[in-house]
Amino acid sequence: MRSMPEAFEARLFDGVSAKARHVPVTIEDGWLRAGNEAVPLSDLRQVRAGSTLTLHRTDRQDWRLIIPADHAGDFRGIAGLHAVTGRHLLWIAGSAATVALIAALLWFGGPTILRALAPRVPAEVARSVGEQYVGMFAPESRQCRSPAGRAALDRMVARLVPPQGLVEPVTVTVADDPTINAFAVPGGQVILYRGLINQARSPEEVAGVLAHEFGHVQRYHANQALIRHFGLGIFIEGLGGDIGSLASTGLFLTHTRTAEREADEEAARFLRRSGISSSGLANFFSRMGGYGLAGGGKGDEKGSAANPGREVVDLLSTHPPDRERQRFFAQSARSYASTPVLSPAEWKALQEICSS
Amino acid sequence: MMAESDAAEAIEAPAVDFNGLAADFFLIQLGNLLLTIITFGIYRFWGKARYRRFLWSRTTLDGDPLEYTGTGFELFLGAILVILLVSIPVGVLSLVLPLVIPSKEIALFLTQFILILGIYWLVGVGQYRSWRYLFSRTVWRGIRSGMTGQGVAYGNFSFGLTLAQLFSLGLATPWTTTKRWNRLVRDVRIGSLPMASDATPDALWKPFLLVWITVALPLLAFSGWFAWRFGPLFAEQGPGPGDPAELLLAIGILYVGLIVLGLVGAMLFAQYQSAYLKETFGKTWIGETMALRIDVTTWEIIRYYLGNIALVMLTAGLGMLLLPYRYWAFMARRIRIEGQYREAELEQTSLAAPVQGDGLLDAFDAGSF
Repeated sequence: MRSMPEAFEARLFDGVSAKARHVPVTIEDGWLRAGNEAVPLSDLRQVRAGSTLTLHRTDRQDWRLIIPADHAGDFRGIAGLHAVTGRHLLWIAGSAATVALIAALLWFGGPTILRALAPRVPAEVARSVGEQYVGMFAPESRQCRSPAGRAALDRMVARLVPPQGLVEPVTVTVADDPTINAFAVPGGQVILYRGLINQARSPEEVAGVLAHEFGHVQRYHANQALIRHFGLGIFIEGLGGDIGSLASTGLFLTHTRTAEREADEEAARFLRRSGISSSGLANFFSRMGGYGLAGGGKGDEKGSAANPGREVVDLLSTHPPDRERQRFFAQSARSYASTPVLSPAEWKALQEICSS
Repeated sequence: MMAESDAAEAIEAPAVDFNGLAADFFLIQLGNLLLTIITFGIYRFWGKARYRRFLWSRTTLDGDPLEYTGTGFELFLGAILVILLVSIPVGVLSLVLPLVIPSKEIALFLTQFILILGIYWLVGVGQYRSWRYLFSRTVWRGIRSGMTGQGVAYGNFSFGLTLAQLFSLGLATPWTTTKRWNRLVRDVRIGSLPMASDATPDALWKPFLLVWITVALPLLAFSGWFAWRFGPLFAEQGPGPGDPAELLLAIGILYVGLIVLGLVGAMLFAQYQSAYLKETFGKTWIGETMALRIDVTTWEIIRYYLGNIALVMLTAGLGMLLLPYRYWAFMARRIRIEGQYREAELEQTSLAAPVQGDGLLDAFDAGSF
């Protein structure tokens, strides 16, 4: 910066009073002189607001020197208070790298972390949370329990569950709701909607869906969702706002796709072991083609409201493509011998479980 | 009150002016949006500090700009604190309560009840802390502002008013809002100058009752009629969708009805809002010699809201970036300071400034800019 021995007048605010002092200002040899104050130029910072130039001091928070517009150009060499310096860039790069690292860790390591933590959720917590979901999606007043239908369902469940049981004892509740849906919530609770039983063409289809939900139970997917929601969701959404929730939706989508695949694998295993044909599930998926079977390992709200259209096409389906799943189960069905899961009379009773 | 020698130093109260360009603001926000996206949302705190700095700096009092001295890091810290002190305890509470209380229904009810009451209380605390933060980060001619309290006392005060509002079915709103304003303003210090407000609900009852009667009552009547006419359609009736024509009709009527009521309600509400702004600002003092005033009409408020809606809809949402600018510009161009300004009386505040930003109100999506 060039020296300016000829003085001009500026207004000085000392940070103690709002009263301006009109002082002569000169710049000489790396010093700014304003009235009787001398400040090294390196201690000055400038802020421009429109045509106004204000000088700040790094050592005195409230000190201000307001420069008249026709001399604003004399201070180009003074660092901007809000200028992006090398140190800022370092900070930005460092933070961006940290965020990216955490994101990558969660993206790639998330499933591993969740898989490790999910079985450690205390059984009482899982059961209590699961019961809250049951109260929400299948309240007492809407539970279906005609004795014959219940007996048929219990027989189906008993046949599906291996002798050593699942990792948690399972409870299946049928809700009087026309939505075609079924899902597993924490604590081994499986909720089956009447709509799903009504549209099924064979008891094997219902058994297949149950086997899939038991697969979720077996892999603790509901607990994973719980941890993701309380552990991660709160942080990501709290910090990132809308964008953050978008990111966590992305995380959620990829993770549930994996979860669905795992549940399908377990389902095929359960069906094979109990000698129930998995072609029921294959038929179910071929018929559902395009309509997502909502559900999965978290008690999600998709099927909760009485939606007038009864079936909702999922835009962002959280499930693997239905055709792929249909092929998987059809192939599995051909590889073992099966016997009917229910007698015609039992199947009729199950279909009428909600009419008591 | 004042000696005559001081009166000689009194000059006209500083004129408020705003000269920020929407285009400049939009460019800042566009950059913020990009950085927010690539940082998974973390940048938004710094983005907010950046646009606030712009809005403040383009607002002048007697020709000298305001300064916003808050930083993105403070806002970030505020958000972290809210997560640690509010979100996590709330999450834990909703997990633990059902464990200790045997009845599921009672546990669920209690959890919801405690949460809702807690949130009402926190919104009050958050509002105070938001004011406190903004004032403490606002500087003019080297003089900072601030608020004398921490927010807890105001949280209690505001919570009581919220209960009154609830129990009166909203009818007490003019009374509660003016009370809140007076209470908040009472704690503000502009440098060494105290602020005071003696707003009353007297002028607000008429416009408010007009909104209440024309919106609340017809809304009740409309929902009653709708339930009677279309109720069976939404009742459980076994599998298979209901009559699609009837369903479309119901949805159509619902939308038209709500839009008509909403529009009429919004117009009348704008009338109430202009009365509210004029009453609260008009009864507010800075020190003993300066008073605030706001020149605003019902039509200006209606145009403001319609402008916001058009801006957002016609740009597929991108115009949302401009909303903080529109709010600030609307207010800054209408607020006046009147009376005598005595330069020598305005001195530095002795209040300590808070360390972290106003994350609390933000957490409830209630912060306006």
